[in-house]
Amino acid sequence: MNDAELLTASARGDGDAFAVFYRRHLAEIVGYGLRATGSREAAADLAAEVFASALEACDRYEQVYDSASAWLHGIARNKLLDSRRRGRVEDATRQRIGFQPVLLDDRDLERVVELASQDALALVDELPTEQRVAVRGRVLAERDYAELATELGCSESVVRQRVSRGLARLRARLTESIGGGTST
Amino acid sequence: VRDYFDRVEHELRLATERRVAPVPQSRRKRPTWSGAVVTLSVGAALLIALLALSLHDHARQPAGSPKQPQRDLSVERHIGPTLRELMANFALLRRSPTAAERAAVRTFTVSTARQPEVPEYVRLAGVVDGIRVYFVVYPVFRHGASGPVVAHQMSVIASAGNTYAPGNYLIFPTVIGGFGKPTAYLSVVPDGVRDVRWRFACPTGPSGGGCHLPPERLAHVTVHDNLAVLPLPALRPGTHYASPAVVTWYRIDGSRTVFTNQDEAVPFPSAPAWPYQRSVKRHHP
Repeated sequence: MNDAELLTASARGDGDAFAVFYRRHLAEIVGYGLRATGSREAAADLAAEVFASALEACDRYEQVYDSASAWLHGIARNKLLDSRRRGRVEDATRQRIGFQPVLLDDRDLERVVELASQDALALVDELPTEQRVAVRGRVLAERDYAELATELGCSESVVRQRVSRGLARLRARLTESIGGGTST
Repeated sequence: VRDYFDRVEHELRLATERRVAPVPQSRRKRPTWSGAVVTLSVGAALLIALLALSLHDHARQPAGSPKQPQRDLSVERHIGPTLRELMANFALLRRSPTAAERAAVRTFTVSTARQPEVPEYVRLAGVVDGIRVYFVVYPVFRHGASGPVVAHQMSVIASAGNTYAPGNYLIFPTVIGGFGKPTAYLSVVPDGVRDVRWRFACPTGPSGGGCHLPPERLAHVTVHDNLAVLPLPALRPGTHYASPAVVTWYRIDGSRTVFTNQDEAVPFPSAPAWPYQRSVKRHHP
């Protein structure tokens, strides 16, 4: 099921559908929150409030793409601005929809970092093939440029260039996801 | 239930299942005399209710809630603007609702754990390239939908699919719309401001990647119905429009205020002191 179908089912009261939607986008929203706030606690709190707002508004979602990612990031960005303005992440939506308090412990904070890492890895997968292979080989597998050049059938300088461009693109994506977006 | 995110999932699942399912339409019955009398009575009651509604655009009490008037605790709790402040600052909220706006109340009614949460005010602020922009005021209750009202939240909701703006009265414009769809800068502006000027700039260095300047780097926009709007050409994926570096409000009384802080919101007299307000400069003629 795509996001629009999951949100439509959620609007009819299908808890399983919303759980699938939540798991599908959790890492990217937690990653966004951690990059934007630098705080694991705030990132966890922000994610819960964002998904509560998404649930509250799911019957008003209009499909633009197969993924509701842009819509969710719009909500997250607004929540972030709101929280900066007020000095804390609001829980008004969670209260409205009847959430019971959910507390964080140290293990949960480690989980925030894990989820944010998953999000960053997902961004690596979105790189063009040549850059993805080079970044994965050099940065994640820590292999030598010479070894990668032999394997990829190109010069070392070409591998360096691909790694450099891939990392620059990743940096731009991470920055863009905090400051940009198409939401109000 | 293992970690925080599992517990959040559990709460979300429960909240989803508590959503009010649409009431199925009853089968049509053959008309009878008693049925006609009931219909007429109901029709008369509806007519009276509609007349009352048009005379008093008051908050609707959710069914089953206490009859006594609810206290607005926004001021004492410093949660946000009071309903009175919202009304005092936005003429759009003070005008009578149109029939379409009354009908739109249903669209913005939110299903909650206990009973539907009905917005107290719905006003169409403007239509930008087919995108309808509404001001929607919700009461915020202390305990779900059953406790006293502790604040009011004005949402700016644009019917563009991927746009949703809860509780924003931000002075700096935000972008509504999306890739390949009608797009515009939009900003909520309180009464007394006649025009706004937005000066745009892209950040330098890596953070400026994908940043796109609008056709006019210095835009002068006239305010209509508490809304300043600047339509934009649609962007390609991977790019986004620049945020303004400076916003200037020109008031009807000739004064102007310059803002340089992106996170600043429309100030309300009793609102708590928000961070990031240091860079406000006020100019008077």
